Amino acid sequence: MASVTLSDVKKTYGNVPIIHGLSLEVQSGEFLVLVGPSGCGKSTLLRMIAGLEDINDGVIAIGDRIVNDLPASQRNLSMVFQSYALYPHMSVRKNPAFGLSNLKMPGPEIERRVADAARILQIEPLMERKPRQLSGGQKQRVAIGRAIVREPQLFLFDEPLSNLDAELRVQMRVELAGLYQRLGTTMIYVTHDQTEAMTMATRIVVLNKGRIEQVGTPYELYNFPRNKFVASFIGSPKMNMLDARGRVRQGGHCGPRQPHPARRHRRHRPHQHRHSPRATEPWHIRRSDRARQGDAGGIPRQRSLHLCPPRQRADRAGARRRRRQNPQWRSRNPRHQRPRRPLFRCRRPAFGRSEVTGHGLPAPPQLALRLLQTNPPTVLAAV
Amino acid sequence: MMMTLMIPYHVVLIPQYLTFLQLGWVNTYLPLVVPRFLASDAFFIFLMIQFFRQLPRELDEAAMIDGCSPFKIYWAVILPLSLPAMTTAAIFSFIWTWEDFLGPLVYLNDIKDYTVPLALRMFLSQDSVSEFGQMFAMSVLSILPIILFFVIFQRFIIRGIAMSGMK
Repeated sequence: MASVTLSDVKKTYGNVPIIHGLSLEVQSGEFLVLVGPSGCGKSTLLRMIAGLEDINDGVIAIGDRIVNDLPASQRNLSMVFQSYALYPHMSVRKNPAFGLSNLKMPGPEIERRVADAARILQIEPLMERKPRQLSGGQKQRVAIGRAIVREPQLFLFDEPLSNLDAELRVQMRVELAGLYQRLGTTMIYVTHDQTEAMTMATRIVVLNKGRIEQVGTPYELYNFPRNKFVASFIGSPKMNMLDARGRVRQGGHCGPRQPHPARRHRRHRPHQHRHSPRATEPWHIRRSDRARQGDAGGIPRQRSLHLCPPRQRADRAGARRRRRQNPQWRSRNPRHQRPRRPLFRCRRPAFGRSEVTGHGLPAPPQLALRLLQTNPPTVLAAV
Repeated sequence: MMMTLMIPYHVVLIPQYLTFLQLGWVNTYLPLVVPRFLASDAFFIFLMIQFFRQLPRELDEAAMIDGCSPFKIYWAVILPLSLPAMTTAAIFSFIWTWEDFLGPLVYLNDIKDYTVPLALRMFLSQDSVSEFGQMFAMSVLSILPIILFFVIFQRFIIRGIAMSGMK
């Protein structure tokens, strides 16, 4: 087990900067997931830690050792590649043993370690086969086996599950999480699949264009995204971004997914007007009671949002005044009509914040997926 | 290197002859065998380079993490995987050497050392009647070793073996 410290690490390809002065502390025994859209530099970062890619500036330390100039083999780490990169001409038994024999390890010790790994990964019946005789999932296991026999301080995974089919991916995800719990070694895992990130990570680093957008536990990232990028990147289905102006009444706010935790302390400022994108999940949206009675009176209840564009609401206030004077009066202006039917009604789910499964996923994403089936997201786009 | 591929054999023949003369190799099989054995043709270099290029880079990197020196990566990982390309090179090299006419004609003086193409040539006579029937019969026989060689080695030319550890 080892911690990894990156301080002000930079990388450029020619004149194109890929990583712009990135600093990150990976604690010992942590399962850190690097996640981000393709081309954000997450694989490059991993390869820099592995020593497969030079760094242009900054310091990388594994444990107490600065490893800037150490070759990959001396950094005491193992890496699992996206394409597995098994040696095609070696059997399943020889593949992991090859690295160990390079370390001049005695034969019986090599055999013991390989046998241990085979037992853990349940590949014992395959030991004499060549990689071409294995299925994708089996190859993946062998690749992981090759990584664990070295008993390194640090594991690096470069999108190891992206070549597997959906079912196998879920299965391997569980197995990897189990492996992590058994070994407790520091792991750095690159993926673009946020489900993988949310389910396996103890901490997630969201990268975008070579910069860290946010570092935090899956729970923090999901519930308190620091900016719009993180908010829209994490969560399935995607979080809705509404350009809204609302009045926030005492004790009320637009939903638990606030753009910033600090906002949560402002709840005692009544009738505050805001022009900011508010982030909401489908279950945060609910037609207000007063809206249901034909009255467009702001946001009367906690976590409820009256959905109509601001201008329409302002016009409707004028129309309402005129109607009060003359009950027969009806505006022809379509903007003065009743607001469109609400998107859908959905109460906030009953489970609370503490309900976090294992070290990863808070329950809402599955619920969001369920909602998606009943309420197509196209409805949301109408807002 | 493209240039060496483009220069006709006949241009380098005389300098090569002089070199081998100084080495004392003329009138032996060495000038014919040794360069071919080393597959020193530019064509083979292109063939091998193209093959190495299509080997996945992750294999090198995996070997690097496994603690291999560059030579060890070449010896233990790349070389065993290059068997198809090496076999192709071997087959070509063998065929070209076997059927070479000009080389033996220049380097071999003794009639008892003559190679098959030279011997076949002896069926043709400028003075008397050429024996075409016998010449064609021998021609057919002379390609038998090539066919045999190919049949034996073609099983190593299995493309895709290098990719089988990958996705």
